[in-house]
Amino acid sequence: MNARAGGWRGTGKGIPTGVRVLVWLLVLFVPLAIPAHPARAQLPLAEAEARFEAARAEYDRNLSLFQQAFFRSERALEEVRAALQARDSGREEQARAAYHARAVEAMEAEAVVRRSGDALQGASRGLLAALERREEEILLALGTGILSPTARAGMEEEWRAVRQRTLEVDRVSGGIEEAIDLRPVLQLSVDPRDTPADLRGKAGVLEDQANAYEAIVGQLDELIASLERRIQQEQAFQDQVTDLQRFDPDVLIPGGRLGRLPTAAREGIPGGFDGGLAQLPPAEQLELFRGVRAQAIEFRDLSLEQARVFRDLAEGVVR
Amino acid sequence: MRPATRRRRCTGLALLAGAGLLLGLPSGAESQLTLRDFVITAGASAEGYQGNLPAVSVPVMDSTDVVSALAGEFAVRSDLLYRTQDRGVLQLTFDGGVRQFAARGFELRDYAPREWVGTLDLGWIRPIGTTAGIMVRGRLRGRDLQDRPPMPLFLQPGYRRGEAQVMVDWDGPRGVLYDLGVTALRSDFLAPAFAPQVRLLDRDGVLAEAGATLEGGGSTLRLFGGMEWSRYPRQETFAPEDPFRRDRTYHAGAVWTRQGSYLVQVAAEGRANRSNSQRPEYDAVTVRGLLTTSLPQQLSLSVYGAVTAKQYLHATEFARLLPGEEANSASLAYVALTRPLAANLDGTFRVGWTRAETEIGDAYFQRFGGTFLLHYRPRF
Repeated sequence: MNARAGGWRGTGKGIPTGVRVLVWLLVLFVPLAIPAHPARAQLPLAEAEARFEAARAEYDRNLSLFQQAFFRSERALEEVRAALQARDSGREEQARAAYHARAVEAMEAEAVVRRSGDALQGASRGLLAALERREEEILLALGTGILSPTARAGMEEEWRAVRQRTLEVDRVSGGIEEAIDLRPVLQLSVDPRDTPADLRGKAGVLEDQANAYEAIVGQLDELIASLERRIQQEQAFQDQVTDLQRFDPDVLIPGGRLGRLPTAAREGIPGGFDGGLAQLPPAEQLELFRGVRAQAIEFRDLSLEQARVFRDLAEGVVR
Repeated sequence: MRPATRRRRCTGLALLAGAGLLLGLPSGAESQLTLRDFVITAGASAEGYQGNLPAVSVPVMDSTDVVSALAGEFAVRSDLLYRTQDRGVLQLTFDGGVRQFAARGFELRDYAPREWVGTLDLGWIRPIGTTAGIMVRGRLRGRDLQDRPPMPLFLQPGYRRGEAQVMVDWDGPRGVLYDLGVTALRSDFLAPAFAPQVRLLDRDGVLAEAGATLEGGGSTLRLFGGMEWSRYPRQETFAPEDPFRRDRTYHAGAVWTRQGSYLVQVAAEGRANRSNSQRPEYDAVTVRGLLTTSLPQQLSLSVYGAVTAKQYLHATEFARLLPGEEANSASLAYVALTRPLAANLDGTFRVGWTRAETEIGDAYFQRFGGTFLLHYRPRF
């Protein structure tokens, strides 16, 4: 409100009645808008943080053990392949027995890491919920307007920290499935009570898994072909524009950003913009898909080999 | 400064700036340096030129109206991204090359002009929250020309140009992306001793442009409008109270982009230039289009065309000097076919036609020709 010549209308002792009422309203209601015990909101957040960090440490430990066991089983599988190529039946039998043992170890380790992954997912959800609650409290407090500059600066800093932590936890929880998702269904393990029919059934499950990976490979082939076409198209587009502009400014394209692809503006920018695969440059998407395809092929082959282990067990070939 | 020294200095500065920037960057575990593109281009052209017109920096006039030239070119361009976890992205682009002509058809003598060009672009992009971003960009461009021929083989004279730009964009309601940018620029032309009049082309200016981008159905449409204030410190108006030429250029238009089985951009733009000197005042409308699509046998077809209608508001017997604005006046058509020839190697055959102004407005020359280019993208 701006002061006018001649003072405020209705002036009593220099402060208009309306302003007095407003001040009283603010004094009465604004404190109610600020959480009465902001420190209390910290406790669930702190507890959520502690649980998350504990779950994360447990998951990392179990993932490392699983990866070691998986690596050993892969080495054993390579020995099986080498024996098959060498057509050495004695060597093949020994290699299969060794692979069988390593595969069972890896299966058990994967079951453990999956349980840890589920626990970590739960802890992530709890922490994200606590972070979201805290963010709402901070925004509400900032929105009231009655904060000292120091307090306001402190709350803004905390808000940035909460946002950053939310992104970090999101990334961790999103990576859990990526770390163990593209693995054969190794929850299947050999139980001494399994009958040959049970073992054949488990082999069938693994073969279905292999078929699923085969379908994934097919889908990835289409995605990769589409990306390769897009990259070729964008390269031809960019080459045309830059080659024409380089020496002959009379074909320079001013204004409006003609010659520049709209998607290029935010590609590869981390942090603020909506993340996700679509924001990666096409070349990086292509590299990612090729890597996933190679893994899918590897795990398809692994699933088929493990299915064979179960079928051999069912036939009493490996003991 | 001697031309060879100028070239070396421009190239060296650009390379040093790029190397120093990269070496000085922190290499934390959460930072990432990405080479988005690195292309080596080499090629040859056969071109014809027609239009015996006046041009600012040409010291002699030749009586021929049509000449031809063979040209070879070599260029390197690169696009680097340096991403940090929380301080945004640094983008460094450089593009430089050399083109050598062997021209025939002149009456006075044969000419062998050589062009050196280099552009260094440095930009910093940072998100603001989750719905906005800011970009700060600087650009340096240099050009040097030896043995400049007379018309009709028009080659722009050498210059140094600097630009600084700040742009912000933000997500608005209904999914519209808004942007606002301000660019300051300065061009200093390099005048040989026998053609000091080239310095008349020097100019500096400020450009402001705002835009709104709508997206839907695989297409984007950007509407834009802006204004540029230009000053020509060496062009006098002969009016003591307002001694030097000052222009205001208004522009507005739209760019439509669609990317799918084909990539197409179409832009329509209107420009109006007003000045305290009546000579360069004009209205112009340009429609431009870019199309790239895949064909069988791994071929790509690229087409670029522009049609301009331009009208000067006042007749004058004096020369209208419009440096750097040749593109605003050009009508052209280029068609290119590209095909992979080997791993990381593409070949392009391009034919084209251009009708554009020299630095002197309302004087148009024509250029037509065919070019074969090789693009090599080494893997690092």
